[in-house]
Amino acid sequence: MPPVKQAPRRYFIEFNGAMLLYLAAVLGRVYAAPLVSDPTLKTLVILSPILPVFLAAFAALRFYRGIDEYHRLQILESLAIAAGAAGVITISWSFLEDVGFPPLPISYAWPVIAAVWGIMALYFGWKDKVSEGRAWQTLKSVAATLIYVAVGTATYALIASWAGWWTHWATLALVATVLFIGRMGFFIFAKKSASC
Amino acid sequence: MLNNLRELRAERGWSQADLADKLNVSRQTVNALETGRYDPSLPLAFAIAKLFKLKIEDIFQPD
Repeated sequence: MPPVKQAPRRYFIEFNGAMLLYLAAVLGRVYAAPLVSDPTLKTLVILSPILPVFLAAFAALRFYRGIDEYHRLQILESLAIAAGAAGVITISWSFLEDVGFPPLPISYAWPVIAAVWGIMALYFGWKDKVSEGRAWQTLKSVAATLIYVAVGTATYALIASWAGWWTHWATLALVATVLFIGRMGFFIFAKKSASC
Repeated sequence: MLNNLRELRAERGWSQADLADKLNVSRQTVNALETGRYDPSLPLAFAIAKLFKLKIEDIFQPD
């Protein structure tokens, strides 16, 4: 398999592995921190989610280096637009704060950048599909994914409410995310055309 | 830039995926090149020319 085709598969494994570690660290530190008495060790436990964040960033960097020049350009354009959008939003928000809007924590910067980055990446991908005459096929695939995630999550909610498992919205969001990642994994690993 | 990549590929009976594999790029990149939505870097242009055993200017022409 050409190296450029391996990049999405490697990224899928590395990024989701880092996200699993992140989830474990974020949830685990709540229980682990009170059990640790040593101040230094407690600080390390509290800061533990930083490590998987670095791992995820490293996975993204390896992905960027593994893809071809056309997709690198698309990613860079998406990121540039996302950075600009984040700047516009945060500056605008600072003026809104003058008329009573709540202060925007700095931790909101990344979600804004990531969201716009993702939207722009989807837009560029959509333009490719349209150019290839595969717009309808793509729409059907997106609809199938949405139905799969919605039905799967609803099924879990029904079983969970019957069995007494967690049905908090965060749990359902996690189930939906896992189903979505599974579906993406199918596209990346099972299909012959899998490439970035 | 204009190019005759699609014709050259068709002459050899290659699909976009075949050409993409030979150039170590994605199929979407080959499509973007063929439809003129993307102009390749010099290294990729040289790789394309070498693959088709032609000069770069035989494949790519200015608008």
